[in-house]
Amino acid sequence: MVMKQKLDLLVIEDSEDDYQLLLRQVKSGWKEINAIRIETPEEFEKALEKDWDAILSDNTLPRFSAISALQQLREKDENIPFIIVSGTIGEKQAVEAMRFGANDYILKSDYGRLLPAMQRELKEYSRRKKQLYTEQKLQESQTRYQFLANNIQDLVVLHKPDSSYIWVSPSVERILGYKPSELIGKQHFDYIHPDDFDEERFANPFRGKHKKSILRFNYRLKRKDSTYIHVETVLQPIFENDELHQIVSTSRDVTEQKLAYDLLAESEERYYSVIDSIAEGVILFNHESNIITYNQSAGRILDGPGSTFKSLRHSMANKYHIVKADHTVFLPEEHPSQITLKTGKPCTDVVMGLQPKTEGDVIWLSVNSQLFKEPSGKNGVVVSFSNITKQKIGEEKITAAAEELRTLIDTANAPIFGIDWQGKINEWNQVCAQITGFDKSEVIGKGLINEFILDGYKVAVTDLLKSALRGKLVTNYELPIYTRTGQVVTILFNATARRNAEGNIIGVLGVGQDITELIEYRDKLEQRVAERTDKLNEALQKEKELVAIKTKFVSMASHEFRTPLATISFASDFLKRYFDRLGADEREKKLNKIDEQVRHMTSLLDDVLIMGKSDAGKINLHPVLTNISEFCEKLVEEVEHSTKKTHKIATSVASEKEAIYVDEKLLRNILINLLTNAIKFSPEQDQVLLDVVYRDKNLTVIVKDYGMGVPEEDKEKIFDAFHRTNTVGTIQGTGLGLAIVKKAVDLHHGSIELDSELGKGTTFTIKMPLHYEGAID
Amino acid sequence: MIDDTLSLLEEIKDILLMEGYDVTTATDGYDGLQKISKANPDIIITDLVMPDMNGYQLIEKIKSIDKFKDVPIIVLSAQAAKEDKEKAFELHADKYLTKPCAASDLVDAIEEITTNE
Repeated sequence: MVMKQKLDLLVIEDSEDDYQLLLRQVKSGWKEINAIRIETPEEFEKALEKDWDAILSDNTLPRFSAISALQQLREKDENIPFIIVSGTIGEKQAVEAMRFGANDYILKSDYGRLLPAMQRELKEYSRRKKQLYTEQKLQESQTRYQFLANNIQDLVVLHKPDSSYIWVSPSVERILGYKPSELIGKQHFDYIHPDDFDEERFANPFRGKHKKSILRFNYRLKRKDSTYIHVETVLQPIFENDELHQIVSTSRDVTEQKLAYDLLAESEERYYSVIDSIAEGVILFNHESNIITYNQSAGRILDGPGSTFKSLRHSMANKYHIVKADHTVFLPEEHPSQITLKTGKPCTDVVMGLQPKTEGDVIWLSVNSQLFKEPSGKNGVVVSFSNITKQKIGEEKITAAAEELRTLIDTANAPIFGIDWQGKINEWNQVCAQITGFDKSEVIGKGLINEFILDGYKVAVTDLLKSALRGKLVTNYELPIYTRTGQVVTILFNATARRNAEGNIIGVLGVGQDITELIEYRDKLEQRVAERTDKLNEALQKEKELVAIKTKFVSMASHEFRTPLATISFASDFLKRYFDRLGADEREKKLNKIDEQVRHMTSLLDDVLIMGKSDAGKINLHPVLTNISEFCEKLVEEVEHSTKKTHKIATSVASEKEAIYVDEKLLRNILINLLTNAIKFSPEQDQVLLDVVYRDKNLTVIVKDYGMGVPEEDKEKIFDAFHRTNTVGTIQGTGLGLAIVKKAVDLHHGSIELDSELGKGTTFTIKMPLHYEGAID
Repeated sequence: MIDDTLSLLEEIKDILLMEGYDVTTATDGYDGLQKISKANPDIIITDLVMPDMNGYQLIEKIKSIDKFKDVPIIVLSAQAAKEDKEKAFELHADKYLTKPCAASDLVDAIEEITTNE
């Protein structure tokens, strides 16, 4: 036994010499001795606060004794070796000291025994201490194990080899519903589901096995309520003398895991069968882009029938050039699986063409890729793909056709536009843009009706497009639409429903023709026709009026002729009938009367002829250079003479020029008629006025009388042929005078004004521009 | 005798005077009515187209006056149309002569009326 190198020693001794002597005795036993001497209970009490390897004590001290020190020590339950060293001690005292727990008793005269005694007691003390520690540890361990066994979640059982229960953990109550006491002595085998009980395996599980074998079993255990739970059991044998003595089994309830596992297994199986039977190819790549697994379709599509893993890998690596939808090269880094592996993002519907390096058509695939976690935790990628060769070829044909159609629409030399179900524009070709001034990009998505159609047409066009959307063909509809500049152009259009591949109507396509010019031309033509028709109608109306006027004129003229004729007739009859009874003067009077009537009729005839000529448009202007002053003078004289000089015609002629170009005949007609009228209709007066002014190529003639005047109601009709006012009474006239004046003025494009008041007189003012050709200043 | 043409009135007056009739002349309807009520004639000769009151109006007026409604009326008019004639007879004119006519036609018409009475 190895001694402690260092000794902590407490000595109770009142004599310093004895103390030194004592130390000398024990010094050789330790390399180092750390000792102190005390001699009172107080000092002892204090010293005991430290650990000591041994205590040596004198038997009796002035204030202390070994017995009381022992008592003090043992109270503290200290087992430190306590050896009494005394000069004298009786048998009785020694027995007393031993009884109080002293370990030994040595006389000072027998110091030689001290060291071996100390060594022995220290060894004994050390052994005692170790044993105490071990016992304490064992106690603790047992408590812990018991606690563990009681609180363990799993079912822990101690079996005999025949499976009968020796000990069952309290957890059994929770797991199987039994109290441990109900199971002790029962056979474990009886609780195993009959279907899971394999007698050969279960009856002697450790036969031929190593002593430390641990066996695992999975089976169902019957609960007290007759239901079963799935358990996973670990068996551990306890051998004694090479004989299987007992078995410890630990069973865990795995019912939930089992069910979940079964479900998972089932779904996985189903999943795999689905994956394997679908037409889509599926390949799983690991993080290094190596194939982990693939389904049958993948092999068939990429490698052909009878594909194997090896041939598939070979095909994928060597058989094809990979191209994109537009037949350009598909770079390896553009492969969906690579993109997904790199970025973690899935790829969908990537079109990939496999162009065989040898002869053969391109196989078109639509490829999807998605990340998945490998069991190692690394990212793999699952790539699925379907063969879309047929669709792709069809698509290319359709695309080509659509492209051709699009080009056709866009470049057609007719406006073509399309709208969708919402009336939004989705087609707008170049001609549309050209006609309206709106680019395709500006109008796409805008409402055709609201933005481009004139208000008055919105309802009609909406109805029309609706019926086209119902599949009805709309033809030759005139559609006025706004242009960028706010003008309106008219498009003659046909609208047909536009259908998708399924034959469903998706909108309306309108094909038109810009007929703005045509419309304008048509409108102009219509306008011209209308104008012509109006003119024709006017002419016709004039003609009708003319005929009516002529008829009326003829009838009126004939009427006017009948009266003088009657007068002549009666006068001549009178001469014939009473010739014998008449004197010569009476005969002459009658003949004169006849003469007078004949002259009246002649002038009437002249007037009628003038009227007839002018109505027939047969009168033309014949201007001649005339000295206007002389002309008027002569004419006035003539009128005064013919009216038997009843009135003086006060004449004033003022002309810028001596001679002017006038139609003498017409001017004569005007002046004679106006002057004769003035004289005729102012019988009580003896003067009328004539004013003639020529200035700025305009001739103004004013004739004024102070006679009876023209009644208001006649002022408009006074220029009509044969119209005679009620005021004329028996005053003779042809009824054509003013009509002739009016005609003459009209021929000059002049105007005639009448200013008259009943009983006060009448003024006629005539203004005529004289712009004759050849009129030289 | 009513007519707005003085020369004609003179001629007829001359003829009828020679035939032995008393003749009063007027130049329009109003004038005529006045002269009629004054002269109380046996026969009235009238023109149709006259200013102010025309012949038709005059005939209507005469026929509305009890005293003169049975006095025979001869129309002497330049209106040769059938309608004018019919209109005159509707108003109960007795004779219708169209201008121009012979002096004998007028005298015969007057004599025919006077002998019938």
